Amino acid sequence: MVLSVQFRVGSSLRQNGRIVLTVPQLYNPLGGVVQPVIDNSVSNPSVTSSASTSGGITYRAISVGDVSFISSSMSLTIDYTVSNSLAAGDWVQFSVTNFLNPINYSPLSGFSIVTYDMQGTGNYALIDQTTSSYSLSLSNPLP
Amino acid sequence: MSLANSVVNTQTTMTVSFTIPSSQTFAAGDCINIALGSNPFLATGGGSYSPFFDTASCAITSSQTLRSCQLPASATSASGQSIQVLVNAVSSLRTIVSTVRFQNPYSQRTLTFLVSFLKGCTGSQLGLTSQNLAFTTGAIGSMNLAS
Repeated sequence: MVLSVQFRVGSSLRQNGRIVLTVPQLYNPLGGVVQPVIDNSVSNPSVTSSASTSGGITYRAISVGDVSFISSSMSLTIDYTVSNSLAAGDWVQFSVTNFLNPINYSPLSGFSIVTYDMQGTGNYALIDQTTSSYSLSLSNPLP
Repeated sequence: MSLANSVVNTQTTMTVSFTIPSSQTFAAGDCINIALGSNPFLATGGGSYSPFFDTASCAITSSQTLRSCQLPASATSASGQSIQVLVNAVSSLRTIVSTVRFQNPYSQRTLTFLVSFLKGCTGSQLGLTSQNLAFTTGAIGSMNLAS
């Protein structure tokens, strides 16, 4: 499955940066294990981003660079560039593959986002982070 | 000498207050030097983040006895790691407030500023103080998830 993420920029994001999405774990009945909701056991997740407008909100796209997922910390790291800086209040959206849908309607909480500015190779500095944990709920029964 | 305690993410000027020691004597042509302890913007690939200081917006707000601001003679336009407040003459005046423009790090990076007195702007260092400056930003208050 694909996870769609949209977030509103807290402080301006410059042309080069990094987004880290932390995800929760769930019980996977297929393997009988508890694992992160992003599964990289077979293949690495990929991230895409495109601009769109919905409900009067314009969602900005990022140019996705290196993507990595670390199971132990349940964190997805996305290096990105944008041609023009993103201002505070702008919305950004991206999609992540290899997502394991919840198996019931219980809210799946534990999602959070941190943004970093990049100045120089490997020189990242924290910009903003979510102040609370976000959750995902299924709105339709699975087929 | 003291610096502002905090700077927000979008801010690009910094107010610097100087209290000159009573034992200090200035002559025309001496400088107060404001520098970064380490300039993160000059790291490999720093690109548009340098220089850190510039002279386009440097002002003395409390005194006419200071002349101007300048980049150090050794600096190039690409480095700009320090800026100098050029002293015209200081006699009884002991508190000076100046503003300098700098490159905001656009993150919560903590930077260390070093302030010193220089005889003849390039001569011996007469005094030095340092202060960490924390940059504050906002928070991501909205996130939507769907699958």
